[in-house]
Amino acid sequence: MTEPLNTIERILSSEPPVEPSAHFTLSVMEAVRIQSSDSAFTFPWKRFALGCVIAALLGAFASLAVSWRPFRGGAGMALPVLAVSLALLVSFASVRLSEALVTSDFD
Amino acid sequence: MHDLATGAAAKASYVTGDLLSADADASDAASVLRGDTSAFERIVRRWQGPLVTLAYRFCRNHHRAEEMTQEAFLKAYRGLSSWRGTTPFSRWLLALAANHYRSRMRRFEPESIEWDEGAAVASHSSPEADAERQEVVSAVHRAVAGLPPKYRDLVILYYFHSSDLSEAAASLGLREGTAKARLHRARLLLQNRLKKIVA
Repeated sequence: MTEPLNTIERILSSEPPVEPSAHFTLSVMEAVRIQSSDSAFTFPWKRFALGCVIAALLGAFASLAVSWRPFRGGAGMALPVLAVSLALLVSFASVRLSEALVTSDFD
Repeated sequence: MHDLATGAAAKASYVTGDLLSADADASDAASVLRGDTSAFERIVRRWQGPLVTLAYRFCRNHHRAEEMTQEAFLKAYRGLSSWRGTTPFSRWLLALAANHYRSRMRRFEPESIEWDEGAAVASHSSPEADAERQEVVSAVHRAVAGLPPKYRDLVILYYFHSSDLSEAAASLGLREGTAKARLHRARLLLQNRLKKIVA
């Protein structure tokens, strides 16, 4: 039973290192120099677009809430409860989004 | 038991490193942050071997491994200011690279990756024996590549770190206990998938 595992272990633990090709360092440094001379701090268009979408959705919701009859007609606690729920939801989503952006690619 | 002696002898100290290398990394990183781009070249030269090796173990294609490594270096260059001196530079860099490789592998269709033929295995008694061994080696690598990502990533990093579970767990941001359980499960999966080939 342990024989196949021994073989697998042996194969995986004895794998030799891989050598990069001769021009690899130059190629990386060229990319680094282009990046540093270009613009190290590019405008985060993706995040900007995401922010715009979220702002538009919130704006749409707010205008709907103002104009929609049940809210206007004094629906008692419905509007505050909904607003608080939405605020919590947006906070939670923004925290998760920040975490995802920090741990994932910045490209 | 597996060949512990070989594993111990081959133990690469990528993370603990020698103190000179750790000092050099810290000093070069500080130079880069002061605006000396050329200091980054020394970091690249010191780390290109391990990073290309790790990338290759993920994608099994030399060209793609270099591409992924270059991206990882660029990412490290951009994010160098986020390195805190409290953790070894090597651990920070390897975790960043591993994270990038995993993310890239998620975007590849497995079929789109063209595997390099494995390096020729050490000569055995006959060409037939060599060919047979090559086949087994290839089957093992394919079985690892075919594992669900959470097991595959751990197996790759565990053997990359010369069977050091704590370093593999640190590279993946896992608790050691979780990594241990996951590795156990991964081994069972590999054993089941390979029992007909590796007998």
